[in-house]
Amino acid sequence: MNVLHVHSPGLLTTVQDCGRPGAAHWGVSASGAADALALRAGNLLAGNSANAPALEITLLGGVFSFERAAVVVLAGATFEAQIGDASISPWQPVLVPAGVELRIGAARTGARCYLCVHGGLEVPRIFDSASTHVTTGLGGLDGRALRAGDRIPIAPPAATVPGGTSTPAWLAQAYVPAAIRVTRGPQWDWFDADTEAVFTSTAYAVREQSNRMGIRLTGPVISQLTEEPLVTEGVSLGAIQIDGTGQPIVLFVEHQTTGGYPKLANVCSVDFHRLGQLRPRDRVEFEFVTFEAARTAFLEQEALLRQLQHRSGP
Amino acid sequence: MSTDYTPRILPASDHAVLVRFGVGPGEGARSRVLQFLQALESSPTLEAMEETPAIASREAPPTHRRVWCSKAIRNVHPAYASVLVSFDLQQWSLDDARDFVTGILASMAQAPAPARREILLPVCYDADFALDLQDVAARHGIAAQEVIARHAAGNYIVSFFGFSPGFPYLDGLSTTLTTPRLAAPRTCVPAGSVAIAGAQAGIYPMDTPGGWRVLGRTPVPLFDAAAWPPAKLRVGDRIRFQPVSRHEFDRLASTGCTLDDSGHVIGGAL
Repeated sequence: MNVLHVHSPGLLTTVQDCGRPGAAHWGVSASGAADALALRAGNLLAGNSANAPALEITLLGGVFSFERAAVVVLAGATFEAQIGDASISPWQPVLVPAGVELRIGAARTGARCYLCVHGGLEVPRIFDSASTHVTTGLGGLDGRALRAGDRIPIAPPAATVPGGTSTPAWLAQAYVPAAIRVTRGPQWDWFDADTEAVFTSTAYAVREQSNRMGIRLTGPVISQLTEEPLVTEGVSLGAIQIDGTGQPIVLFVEHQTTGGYPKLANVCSVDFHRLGQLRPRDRVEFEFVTFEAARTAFLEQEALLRQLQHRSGP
Repeated sequence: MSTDYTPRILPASDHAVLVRFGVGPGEGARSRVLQFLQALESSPTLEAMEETPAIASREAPPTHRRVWCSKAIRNVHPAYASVLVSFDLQQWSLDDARDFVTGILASMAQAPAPARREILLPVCYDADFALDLQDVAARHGIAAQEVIARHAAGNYIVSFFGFSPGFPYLDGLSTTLTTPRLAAPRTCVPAGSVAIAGAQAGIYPMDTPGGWRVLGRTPVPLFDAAAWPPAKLRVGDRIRFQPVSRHEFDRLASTGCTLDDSGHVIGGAL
Protein backbone atom coordinates (compact mmCIF):
# COMPACT_ATOMS: atom_id res chain seq x y z
CA MET A 1 0.00 0.00 0.00
CA ASN A 2 1.32 3.39 -0.94
CA VAL A 3 1.26 6.36 1.39
CA LEU A 4 1.37 10.10 0.67
CA HIS A 5 3.54 12.07 3.10
CA VAL A 6 2.86 15.73 3.77
CA HIS A 7 6.12 17.59 4.45
CA SER A 8 4.52 20.99 4.27
CA PRO A 9 0.83 21.37 3.55
CA GLY A 10 0.51 24.66 1.66
CA LEU A 11 -1.92 27.47 2.34
CA LEU A 12 -5.16 25.47 2.42
CA THR A 13 -4.97 21.89 1.26
CA THR A 14 -7.89 19.54 1.89
CA VAL A 15 -9.06 16.13 0.73
CA GLN A 16 -11.93 16.56 -1.71
CA ASP A 17 -14.06 14.54 -4.05
CA CYS A 18 -17.33 15.55 -5.71
CA GLY A 19 -19.08 15.98 -2.38
CA ARG A 20 -21.93 14.43 -0.44
CA PRO A 21 -25.33 15.20 -1.94
CA GLY A 22 -28.35 13.61 -0.31
CA ALA A 23 -28.21 15.00 3.23
CA ALA A 24 -29.17 18.67 2.82
CA HIS A 25 -32.48 18.07 4.59
CA TRP A 26 -30.40 17.46 7.71
CA GLY A 27 -28.46 20.67 7.15
CA VAL A 28 -25.45 18.85 5.69
CA SER A 29 -23.92 20.85 2.89
CA ALA A 30 -22.80 18.89 -0.19
CA SER A 31 -19.29 20.42 -0.01
CA GLY A 32 -16.81 18.86 -2.48
CA ALA A 33 -14.20 20.29 -4.83
CA ALA A 34 -14.38 24.02 -5.53
CA ASP A 35 -13.51 23.20 -9.15
CA ALA A 36 -15.11 19.84 -9.73
CA LEU A 37 -14.42 19.98 -13.46
CA ALA A 38 -10.68 20.00 -12.80
CA LEU A 39 -10.96 17.30 -10.15
CA ARG A 40 -12.92 15.00 -12.44
CA ALA A 41 -10.77 15.63 -15.51
CA GLY A 42 -7.61 15.18 -13.46
CA ASN A 43 -8.89 11.92 -12.04
CA LEU A 44 -9.86 10.54 -15.44
CA LEU A 45 -6.45 11.51 -16.84
CA ALA A 46 -4.87 9.73 -13.88
CA GLY A 47 -6.80 6.54 -14.55
CA ASN A 48 -9.20 7.00 -11.61
CA SER A 49 -12.96 7.22 -11.49
CA ALA A 50 -13.99 10.85 -11.75
CA ASN A 51 -15.05 11.00 -8.11
CA ALA A 52 -11.82 9.64 -6.56
CA PRO A 53 -10.54 11.61 -3.55
CA ALA A 54 -7.72 14.03 -4.34
CA LEU A 55 -5.99 16.98 -2.68
CA GLU A 56 -7.43 20.42 -3.32
CA ILE A 57 -4.56 22.91 -3.26
CA THR A 58 -5.31 26.62 -2.83
CA LEU A 59 -3.09 29.47 -4.08
CA LEU A 60 0.11 28.09 -2.56
CA GLY A 61 0.95 24.40 -2.56
CA GLY A 62 3.15 22.27 -0.37
CA VAL A 63 5.77 19.57 -0.41
CA PHE A 64 4.77 15.92 -0.67
CA SER A 65 6.36 12.55 -1.26
CA PHE A 66 5.23 8.95 -1.68
CA GLU A 67 6.56 5.78 -0.10
CA ARG A 68 6.31 4.00 -3.44
CA ALA A 69 6.38 5.34 -6.96
CA ALA A 70 3.09 7.03 -7.81
CA VAL A 71 1.51 8.41 -10.96
CA VAL A 72 -0.13 11.78 -10.41
CA VAL A 73 -1.89 14.47 -12.41
CA LEU A 74 -2.04 18.13 -11.39
CA ALA A 75 -5.36 19.45 -12.65
CA GLY A 76 -6.80 22.97 -12.69
CA ALA A 77 -4.84 26.21 -12.45
CA THR A 78 -1.17 26.11 -13.47
CA PHE A 79 1.00 26.07 -10.34
CA GLU A 80 4.79 26.13 -10.12
CA ALA A 81 5.50 22.43 -9.64
CA GLN A 82 8.52 20.13 -9.63
CA ILE A 83 9.37 16.51 -9.08
CA GLY A 84 12.89 16.67 -7.75
CA ASP A 85 14.48 19.25 -10.08
CA ALA A 86 12.18 18.70 -13.02
CA SER A 87 9.26 21.06 -13.70
CA ILE A 88 5.94 19.45 -14.42
CA SER A 89 2.92 20.67 -16.37
CA PRO A 90 -0.74 20.37 -15.50
CA TRP A 91 -3.13 17.87 -17.03
CA GLN A 92 -0.37 15.26 -17.68
CA PRO A 93 0.15 11.97 -15.85
CA VAL A 94 3.66 12.03 -14.38
CA LEU A 95 5.60 9.53 -12.32
CA VAL A 96 6.81 10.54 -8.86
CA PRO A 97 9.58 8.09 -7.85
CA ALA A 98 9.50 6.70 -4.31
CA GLY A 99 10.74 9.22 -1.75
CA VAL A 100 11.31 12.03 -4.26
CA GLU A 101 9.79 15.39 -3.31
CA LEU A 102 6.86 16.78 -5.24
CA ARG A 103 6.97 20.54 -4.62
CA ILE A 104 3.97 22.63 -5.53
CA GLY A 105 4.51 26.39 -5.33
CA ALA A 106 2.32 29.33 -6.19
CA ALA A 107 -0.50 29.44 -8.68
CA ARG A 108 0.49 31.44 -11.76
CA THR A 109 -3.09 32.32 -12.62
CA GLY A 110 -6.27 30.99 -11.07
CA ALA A 111 -6.63 29.73 -7.51
CA ARG A 112 -6.80 25.95 -7.17
CA CYS A 113 -5.37 22.75 -8.50
CA TYR A 114 -6.00 19.12 -7.67
CA LEU A 115 -3.32 16.58 -6.93
CA CYS A 116 -4.94 13.45 -8.36
CA VAL A 117 -3.07 10.28 -7.47
CA HIS A 118 -3.56 7.08 -9.47
CA GLY A 119 -5.61 4.91 -7.09
CA GLY A 120 -7.15 7.77 -5.12
CA LEU A 121 -6.66 8.87 -1.53
CA GLU A 122 -8.12 6.79 1.28
CA VAL A 123 -9.83 8.58 4.15
CA PRO A 124 -12.89 7.58 6.20
CA ARG A 125 -16.09 8.38 4.32
CA ILE A 126 -18.97 10.43 5.66
CA PHE A 127 -22.19 9.78 3.72
CA ASP A 128 -20.11 8.01 1.08
CA SER A 129 -17.88 10.99 0.42
CA ALA A 130 -14.29 11.81 1.29
CA SER A 131 -14.82 15.53 0.92
CA THR A 132 -13.86 17.92 3.71
CA HIS A 133 -16.37 20.50 4.95
CA VAL A 134 -13.88 22.79 6.61
CA THR A 135 -16.42 25.10 8.27
CA THR A 136 -18.04 22.32 10.34
CA GLY A 137 -15.03 20.02 10.53
CA LEU A 138 -16.73 17.16 8.73
CA GLY A 139 -15.07 14.58 6.51
CA GLY A 140 -11.74 14.42 4.70
CA LEU A 141 -8.75 13.96 6.98
CA ASP A 142 -10.21 14.64 10.45
CA GLY A 143 -12.36 17.44 9.05
CA ARG A 144 -9.45 19.83 8.59
CA ALA A 145 -6.80 21.21 6.29
CA LEU A 146 -3.62 19.14 5.99
CA ARG A 147 -0.68 19.67 8.34
CA ALA A 148 2.99 18.81 8.14
CA GLY A 149 3.45 15.21 9.18
CA ASP A 150 0.10 13.98 7.86
CA ARG A 151 0.14 10.64 6.06
CA ILE A 152 -2.64 9.53 3.73
CA PRO A 153 -2.92 5.99 2.31
CA ILE A 154 -3.38 5.60 -1.44
CA ALA A 155 -5.80 2.94 -2.66
CA PRO A 156 -4.44 0.33 -5.05
CA PRO A 157 -5.28 1.45 -8.60
CA ALA A 158 -8.12 -0.39 -10.31
CA ALA A 159 -7.22 0.49 -13.91
CA THR A 160 -4.23 1.52 -15.96
CA VAL A 161 -3.34 5.13 -16.57
CA PRO A 162 -4.75 6.33 -19.88
CA GLY A 163 -2.40 6.97 -22.74
CA GLY A 164 -2.20 10.24 -24.62
CA THR A 165 -0.35 13.30 -23.37
CA SER A 166 -1.96 16.22 -25.14
CA THR A 167 -4.25 18.43 -23.09
CA PRO A 168 -7.68 18.43 -24.72
CA ALA A 169 -8.31 21.80 -26.36
CA TRP A 170 -11.76 22.14 -24.82
CA LEU A 171 -10.28 21.75 -21.33
CA ALA A 172 -7.75 24.54 -21.88
CA GLN A 173 -10.53 26.69 -23.36
CA ALA A 174 -12.77 26.14 -20.32
CA TYR A 175 -10.21 28.05 -18.25
CA VAL A 176 -9.70 31.00 -20.55
CA PRO A 177 -11.20 33.95 -18.62
CA ALA A 178 -14.73 34.72 -19.76
CA ALA A 179 -17.99 36.10 -18.42
CA ILE A 180 -19.69 33.69 -16.04
CA ARG A 181 -23.09 32.54 -17.27
CA VAL A 182 -26.03 32.93 -14.88
CA THR A 183 -29.79 32.37 -14.92
CA ARG A 184 -32.40 34.49 -13.17
CA GLY A 185 -32.81 33.85 -9.46
CA PRO A 186 -36.03 33.26 -7.45
CA GLN A 187 -36.14 36.91 -6.29
CA TRP A 188 -35.26 38.31 -9.71
CA ASP A 189 -38.34 40.53 -9.57
CA TRP A 190 -37.41 42.02 -6.19
CA PHE A 191 -34.95 44.31 -7.98
CA ASP A 192 -35.61 47.23 -10.26
CA ALA A 193 -35.54 47.25 -14.05
CA ASP A 194 -32.00 48.66 -14.23
CA THR A 195 -30.49 45.90 -12.15
CA GLU A 196 -29.89 43.48 -15.02
CA ALA A 197 -28.05 46.11 -17.04
CA VAL A 198 -25.93 47.13 -14.07
CA PHE A 199 -25.22 43.54 -13.08
CA THR A 200 -24.07 42.51 -16.57
CA SER A 201 -21.97 45.58 -17.24
CA THR A 202 -20.02 45.58 -13.99
CA ALA A 203 -16.62 43.99 -13.54
CA TYR A 204 -17.00 42.91 -9.91
CA ALA A 205 -13.98 42.68 -7.64
CA VAL A 206 -13.50 39.50 -5.62
CA ARG A 207 -12.99 40.33 -1.95
CA GLU A 208 -10.38 38.84 0.41
CA GLN A 209 -13.12 37.44 2.62
CA SER A 210 -14.11 34.96 -0.09
CA ASN A 211 -13.78 31.25 0.71
CA ARG A 212 -15.37 27.86 0.09
CA MET A 213 -18.63 29.04 1.66
CA GLY A 214 -19.11 32.12 -0.44
CA ILE A 215 -17.44 34.46 -2.89
CA ARG A 216 -17.96 38.07 -1.88
CA LEU A 217 -18.01 40.66 -4.60
CA THR A 218 -17.74 44.44 -4.58
CA GLY A 219 -19.52 46.65 -7.07
CA PRO A 220 -22.28 49.23 -7.45
CA VAL A 221 -24.97 48.95 -4.79
CA ILE A 222 -27.96 46.89 -5.90
CA SER A 223 -31.21 47.98 -4.28
CA GLN A 224 -34.30 45.95 -3.55
CA LEU A 225 -37.68 47.31 -4.61
CA THR A 226 -39.16 46.32 -1.27
CA GLU A 227 -38.10 46.39 2.39
CA GLU A 228 -39.86 43.08 2.89
CA PRO A 229 -37.53 40.45 4.37
CA LEU A 230 -37.29 37.09 2.66
CA VAL A 231 -38.67 34.09 4.54
CA THR A 232 -35.75 31.68 4.83
CA GLU A 233 -35.76 29.12 2.01
CA GLY A 234 -33.46 26.49 0.55
CA VAL A 235 -30.59 27.76 -1.59
CA SER A 236 -28.93 26.29 -4.65
CA LEU A 237 -25.17 26.10 -5.26
CA GLY A 238 -24.06 29.19 -7.16
CA ALA A 239 -26.91 31.40 -5.94
CA ILE A 240 -26.02 35.10 -6.09
CA GLN A 241 -27.46 36.73 -3.00
CA ILE A 242 -27.67 40.47 -2.51
CA ASP A 243 -26.78 41.21 1.09
CA GLY A 244 -27.90 43.99 3.41
CA THR A 245 -25.33 46.38 1.92
CA GLY A 246 -26.44 45.75 -1.69
CA GLN A 247 -23.38 43.66 -2.55
CA PRO A 248 -23.43 40.23 -4.21
CA ILE A 249 -22.31 37.02 -2.51
CA VAL A 250 -22.04 33.89 -4.65
CA LEU A 251 -22.90 30.86 -2.53
CA PHE A 252 -20.21 28.29 -2.95
CA VAL A 253 -19.56 24.61 -2.20
CA GLU A 254 -19.70 24.84 1.62
CA HIS A 255 -22.77 27.09 1.61
CA GLN A 256 -25.46 26.62 4.21
CA THR A 257 -28.48 24.72 2.96
CA THR A 258 -30.97 27.53 3.69
CA GLY A 259 -30.69 31.31 3.52
CA GLY A 260 -32.60 34.52 4.02
CA TYR A 261 -31.11 36.95 1.50
CA PRO A 262 -32.83 37.62 -1.83
CA LYS A 263 -31.27 35.87 -4.82
CA LEU A 264 -30.90 37.87 -8.01
CA ALA A 265 -29.31 35.19 -10.15
CA ASN A 266 -27.65 31.76 -10.06
CA VAL A 267 -24.41 30.71 -11.70
CA CYS A 268 -24.90 28.04 -14.37
CA SER A 269 -23.61 24.54 -13.61
CA VAL A 270 -21.37 24.63 -16.69
CA ASP A 271 -19.41 27.55 -15.20
CA PHE A 272 -19.04 26.39 -11.58
CA HIS A 273 -15.38 25.64 -12.26
CA ARG A 274 -14.78 29.32 -12.95
CA LEU A 275 -15.92 30.13 -9.41
CA GLY A 276 -13.33 27.74 -8.04
CA GLN A 277 -10.56 29.60 -9.83
CA LEU A 278 -11.39 33.11 -8.58
CA ARG A 279 -8.82 34.75 -6.34
CA PRO A 280 -9.04 37.93 -4.27
CA ARG A 281 -8.81 41.09 -6.42
CA ASP A 282 -9.80 39.23 -9.58
CA ARG A 283 -12.48 40.86 -11.69
CA VAL A 284 -15.51 38.87 -12.73
CA GLU A 285 -18.34 39.64 -15.13
CA PHE A 286 -21.67 37.93 -15.63
CA GLU A 287 -24.04 37.29 -18.50
CA PHE A 288 -27.60 36.03 -18.37
CA VAL A 289 -28.60 32.97 -20.39
CA THR A 290 -31.79 30.97 -20.64
CA PHE A 291 -32.29 27.78 -18.65
CA GLU A 292 -32.32 25.81 -21.91
CA ALA A 293 -29.01 27.25 -23.05
CA ALA A 294 -27.56 26.54 -19.62
CA ARG A 295 -28.45 22.87 -19.82
CA THR A 296 -27.27 22.52 -23.42
CA ALA A 297 -23.87 23.95 -22.53
CA PHE A 298 -23.65 21.69 -19.46
CA LEU A 299 -24.46 18.55 -21.46
CA GLU A 300 -21.83 19.46 -24.06
CA GLN A 301 -19.21 19.83 -21.36
CA GLU A 302 -20.20 16.53 -19.76
CA ALA A 303 -19.94 14.75 -23.11
CA LEU A 304 -16.41 16.11 -23.61
CA LEU A 305 -15.47 15.03 -20.09
CA ARG A 306 -16.76 11.51 -20.75
CA GLN A 307 -14.36 11.26 -23.69
CA LEU A 308 -11.46 11.44 -21.23
CA GLN A 309 -12.66 8.14 -19.80
CA HIS A 310 -12.08 6.46 -23.12
CA ARG A 311 -8.47 7.43 -23.62
CA SER A 312 -7.24 4.36 -21.74
CA GLY A 313 -4.07 2.76 -22.92
CA PRO A 314 -3.68 -1.00 -23.43
CA MET B 1 -50.83 36.80 6.17
CA SER B 2 -51.93 35.02 3.03
CA THR B 3 -53.79 31.78 3.55
CA ASP B 4 -53.41 30.72 -0.06
CA TYR B 5 -51.37 27.53 0.11
CA THR B 6 -51.64 26.67 -3.58
CA PRO B 7 -48.23 25.20 -4.32
CA ARG B 8 -46.11 27.07 -6.83
CA ILE B 9 -43.09 25.64 -8.60
CA LEU B 10 -40.39 27.93 -9.90
CA PRO B 11 -36.86 27.42 -11.16
CA ALA B 12 -34.24 28.37 -8.58
CA SER B 13 -31.26 27.59 -10.83
CA ASP B 14 -30.44 25.44 -13.84
CA HIS B 15 -30.38 22.42 -11.52
CA ALA B 16 -33.01 23.16 -8.84
CA VAL B 17 -36.70 23.93 -8.49
CA LEU B 18 -38.35 25.69 -5.56
CA VAL B 19 -41.77 24.54 -4.40
CA ARG B 20 -43.57 27.18 -2.36
CA PHE B 21 -46.56 26.67 -0.07
CA GLY B 22 -47.81 30.17 0.66
CA VAL B 23 -45.69 33.15 1.60
CA GLY B 24 -44.89 32.83 5.26
CA PRO B 25 -44.07 30.55 8.16
CA GLY B 26 -46.87 28.99 10.18
CA GLU B 27 -48.69 25.75 10.78
CA GLY B 28 -50.47 25.67 7.40
CA ALA B 29 -47.24 25.93 5.42
CA ARG B 30 -45.33 23.59 7.73
CA SER B 31 -47.86 20.78 7.52
CA ARG B 32 -47.74 21.01 3.74
CA VAL B 33 -43.94 20.97 3.69
CA LEU B 34 -44.03 17.88 5.88
CA GLN B 35 -46.62 16.17 3.69
CA PHE B 36 -44.57 16.96 0.60
CA LEU B 37 -41.48 15.41 2.20
CA GLN B 38 -43.50 12.32 3.09
CA ALA B 39 -44.69 11.98 -0.50
CA LEU B 40 -41.15 12.56 -1.80
CA GLU B 41 -39.90 9.74 0.39
CA SER B 42 -42.69 7.22 -0.07
CA SER B 43 -44.13 7.65 -3.55
CA PRO B 44 -43.66 4.63 -5.80
CA THR B 45 -40.76 5.38 -8.11
CA LEU B 46 -42.07 7.34 -11.04
CA GLU B 47 -39.37 6.12 -13.40
CA ALA B 48 -38.03 2.72 -14.46
CA MET B 49 -35.34 1.55 -12.06
CA GLU B 50 -32.68 1.48 -14.74
CA GLU B 51 -28.97 1.58 -14.09
CA THR B 52 -27.72 5.13 -13.87
CA PRO B 53 -25.50 5.67 -16.92
CA ALA B 54 -21.77 5.72 -16.21
CA ILE B 55 -21.64 9.41 -15.55
CA ALA B 56 -18.34 11.11 -14.94
CA SER B 57 -19.96 13.41 -12.41
CA ARG B 58 -21.18 11.67 -9.32
CA GLU B 59 -22.03 8.21 -8.06
CA ALA B 60 -25.44 7.42 -6.61
CA PRO B 61 -25.48 6.67 -2.90
CA PRO B 62 -25.95 3.02 -1.92
CA THR B 63 -29.57 1.92 -2.33
CA HIS B 64 -30.19 1.25 1.35
CA ARG B 65 -29.40 4.85 2.12
CA ARG B 66 -31.38 6.57 -0.60
CA VAL B 67 -33.98 8.75 1.01
CA TRP B 68 -35.94 10.15 -1.92
CA CYS B 69 -37.94 8.19 -4.45
CA SER B 70 -35.97 9.25 -7.51
CA LYS B 71 -32.27 8.73 -8.25
CA ALA B 72 -32.20 12.00 -10.16
CA ILE B 73 -32.69 14.00 -6.95
CA ARG B 74 -29.44 15.35 -5.48
CA ASN B 75 -30.70 17.25 -2.50
CA VAL B 76 -33.86 18.41 -0.80
CA HIS B 77 -33.90 21.57 1.34
CA PRO B 78 -37.11 22.04 3.35
CA ALA B 79 -37.71 25.44 4.95
CA TYR B 80 -40.56 27.32 6.62
CA ALA B 81 -42.91 27.38 3.65
CA SER B 82 -40.98 25.84 0.79
CA VAL B 83 -38.89 22.92 -0.40
CA LEU B 84 -35.95 23.28 -2.78
CA VAL B 85 -35.26 20.19 -4.88
CA SER B 86 -31.92 20.04 -6.68
CA PHE B 87 -31.35 17.38 -9.30
CA ASP B 88 -28.80 15.81 -11.60
CA LEU B 89 -28.81 18.03 -14.68
CA GLN B 90 -27.51 15.08 -16.72
CA GLN B 91 -30.70 13.11 -16.00
CA TRP B 92 -33.33 15.85 -15.84
CA SER B 93 -34.11 19.16 -17.47
CA LEU B 94 -36.01 21.78 -15.48
CA ASP B 95 -39.16 20.63 -17.26
CA ASP B 96 -38.51 17.05 -16.12
CA ALA B 97 -38.05 18.29 -12.56
CA ARG B 98 -41.21 20.36 -12.75
CA ASP B 99 -43.19 17.35 -14.05
CA PHE B 100 -41.79 15.16 -11.29
CA VAL B 101 -42.66 17.66 -8.55
CA THR B 102 -46.15 18.09 -10.00
CA GLY B 103 -46.61 14.35 -9.67
CA ILE B 104 -45.42 14.40 -6.08
CA LEU B 105 -47.79 17.26 -5.24
CA ALA B 106 -50.67 15.26 -6.73
CA SER B 107 -49.75 12.28 -4.56
CA MET B 108 -49.46 14.21 -1.31
CA ALA B 109 -52.92 13.29 -0.07
CA GLN B 110 -52.05 9.59 -0.28
CA ALA B 111 -48.74 9.92 1.56
CA PRO B 112 -48.72 8.23 4.97
CA ALA B 113 -48.92 10.68 7.83
CA PRO B 114 -45.57 10.94 9.59
CA ALA B 115 -45.34 9.56 13.11
CA ARG B 116 -45.84 12.53 15.39
CA ARG B 117 -43.26 12.47 18.14
CA GLU B 118 -43.46 14.34 21.41
CA ILE B 119 -39.99 14.87 22.80
CA LEU B 120 -38.97 16.05 26.24
CA LEU B 121 -35.42 17.29 25.94
CA PRO B 122 -33.39 17.84 29.10
CA VAL B 123 -31.75 21.26 29.23
CA CYS B 124 -29.43 22.58 31.90
CA TYR B 125 -29.49 26.34 32.41
CA ASP B 126 -26.42 26.32 34.68
CA ALA B 127 -24.28 29.48 34.52
CA ASP B 128 -21.46 27.56 32.80
CA PHE B 129 -23.79 26.77 29.91
CA ALA B 130 -26.13 29.78 29.87
CA LEU B 131 -23.64 32.04 28.11
CA ASP B 132 -26.10 34.80 27.19
CA LEU B 133 -28.81 34.29 29.84
CA GLN B 134 -27.96 37.35 31.93
CA ASP B 135 -27.69 39.49 28.83
CA VAL B 136 -31.07 38.33 27.49
CA ALA B 137 -32.66 38.91 30.91
CA ALA B 138 -31.23 42.44 31.05
CA ARG B 139 -32.45 43.23 27.54
CA HIS B 140 -35.98 42.31 28.48
CA GLY B 141 -35.84 43.82 31.97
CA ILE B 142 -36.73 40.53 33.65
CA ALA B 143 -34.97 38.10 35.99
CA ALA B 144 -32.85 35.29 34.54
CA GLN B 145 -35.22 32.79 36.19
CA GLU B 146 -38.09 34.34 34.24
CA VAL B 147 -36.21 33.91 30.96
CA ILE B 148 -35.68 30.25 31.81
CA ALA B 149 -39.32 29.82 32.76
CA ARG B 150 -40.58 31.35 29.52
CA HIS B 151 -38.10 29.42 27.38
CA ALA B 152 -38.90 26.10 29.09
CA ALA B 153 -42.65 26.71 28.95
CA GLY B 154 -42.68 26.78 25.17
CA ASN B 155 -44.22 24.16 22.89
CA TYR B 156 -41.77 23.96 20.01
CA ILE B 157 -41.96 22.28 16.61
CA VAL B 158 -39.01 21.41 14.40
CA SER B 159 -39.58 23.33 11.17
CA PHE B 160 -36.45 22.31 9.27
CA PHE B 161 -32.71 21.80 9.58
CA GLY B 162 -30.22 24.28 8.23
CA PHE B 163 -27.21 26.43 9.12
CA SER B 164 -25.12 23.38 10.12
CA PRO B 165 -25.60 19.60 10.25
CA GLY B 166 -28.58 18.68 12.43
CA PHE B 167 -29.28 22.28 13.55
CA PRO B 168 -33.07 22.45 14.08
CA TYR B 169 -35.02 25.65 13.53
CA LEU B 170 -37.75 25.56 16.17
CA ASP B 171 -41.05 27.38 15.98
CA GLY B 172 -42.74 28.32 19.23
CA LEU B 173 -40.48 30.74 21.09
CA SER B 174 -42.47 33.10 23.28
CA THR B 175 -42.76 36.47 21.54
CA THR B 176 -41.70 38.05 24.83
CA LEU B 177 -38.23 36.53 24.31
CA THR B 178 -37.60 37.88 20.80
CA THR B 179 -33.95 38.92 20.92
CA PRO B 180 -31.58 39.97 18.12
CA ARG B 181 -28.52 37.89 17.31
CA LEU B 182 -25.14 38.76 18.80
CA ALA B 183 -23.53 41.66 16.93
CA ALA B 184 -20.40 39.54 16.52
CA PRO B 185 -20.80 35.75 16.35
CA ARG B 186 -18.77 33.53 18.69
CA THR B 187 -16.00 31.61 16.95
CA CYS B 188 -17.14 28.50 18.80
CA VAL B 189 -20.55 27.73 20.28
CA PRO B 190 -20.25 24.49 22.28
CA ALA B 191 -22.16 21.48 21.00
CA GLY B 192 -25.54 21.03 22.68
CA SER B 193 -26.05 24.76 23.23
CA VAL B 194 -29.72 25.73 23.26
CA ALA B 195 -30.12 29.19 21.80
CA ILE B 196 -32.47 31.89 20.50
CA ALA B 197 -32.25 34.56 17.81
CA GLY B 198 -34.96 36.87 16.54
CA ALA B 199 -38.21 34.99 17.00
CA GLN B 200 -36.60 31.59 16.60
CA ALA B 201 -35.18 28.92 18.90
CA GLY B 202 -32.54 26.39 17.95
CA ILE B 203 -29.94 23.95 19.21
CA TYR B 204 -26.30 23.72 18.08
CA PRO B 205 -25.54 20.00 17.61
CA MET B 206 -21.82 20.54 16.89
CA ASP B 207 -19.13 22.99 17.92
CA THR B 208 -19.46 25.68 15.26
CA PRO B 209 -19.20 29.45 15.01
CA GLY B 210 -22.55 31.06 15.72
CA GLY B 211 -24.38 34.25 16.60
CA TRP B 212 -27.48 33.04 18.44
CA ARG B 213 -27.94 33.81 22.16
CA VAL B 214 -27.15 30.74 24.26
CA LEU B 215 -29.45 30.04 27.21
CA GLY B 216 -28.46 26.50 28.22
CA ARG B 217 -27.19 23.15 27.07
CA THR B 218 -28.64 19.72 26.38
CA PRO B 219 -26.62 16.56 27.05
CA VAL B 220 -28.49 14.66 24.32
CA PRO B 221 -26.40 14.26 21.14
CA LEU B 222 -28.43 15.47 18.17
CA PHE B 223 -26.17 14.64 15.27
CA ASP B 224 -23.96 11.63 14.57
CA ALA B 225 -22.32 11.56 11.15
CA ALA B 226 -21.62 7.85 11.55
CA ALA B 227 -25.30 6.98 12.11
CA TRP B 228 -28.18 6.77 9.64
CA PRO B 229 -30.20 8.87 9.86
CA PRO B 230 -27.55 11.15 11.31
CA ALA B 231 -29.93 13.73 12.80
CA LYS B 232 -31.81 12.55 15.87
CA LEU B 233 -34.65 15.06 15.51
CA ARG B 234 -37.07 15.15 12.59
CA VAL B 235 -39.06 17.83 10.84
CA GLY B 236 -42.42 17.98 12.62
CA ASP B 237 -41.19 16.77 16.04
CA ARG B 238 -42.88 18.47 18.99
CA ILE B 239 -40.26 19.53 21.54
CA ARG B 240 -40.53 20.68 25.14
CA PHE B 241 -37.52 21.57 27.22
CA GLN B 242 -37.19 19.98 30.64
CA PRO B 243 -34.93 21.93 32.98
CA VAL B 244 -32.45 19.64 34.72
CA SER B 245 -29.83 20.28 37.37
CA ARG B 246 -26.13 20.40 36.64
CA HIS B 247 -25.78 17.11 38.50
CA GLU B 248 -28.38 15.47 36.26
CA PHE B 249 -26.80 16.98 33.16
CA ASP B 250 -23.40 15.58 34.12
CA ARG B 251 -24.89 12.18 34.85
CA LEU B 252 -26.69 12.03 31.50
CA ALA B 253 -23.66 13.31 29.61
CA SER B 254 -21.15 10.98 31.21
CA THR B 255 -23.25 7.82 30.97
CA GLY B 256 -24.14 8.48 27.35
CA CYS B 257 -27.78 9.33 26.81
CA THR B 258 -29.42 9.18 23.40
CA LEU B 259 -32.72 9.88 21.70
CA ASP B 260 -34.44 6.70 20.51
CA ASP B 261 -36.71 6.20 17.51
CA SER B 262 -39.88 7.10 19.36
CA GLY B 263 -38.33 10.31 20.69
CA HIS B 264 -37.58 9.20 24.22
CA VAL B 265 -34.37 10.17 25.91
CA ILE B 266 -32.73 7.00 27.10
CA GLY B 267 -30.26 7.70 29.86
CA GLY B 268 -27.06 5.76 29.99
CA ALA B 269 -26.53 2.98 32.52
CA LEU B 270 -26.28 4.22 36.12
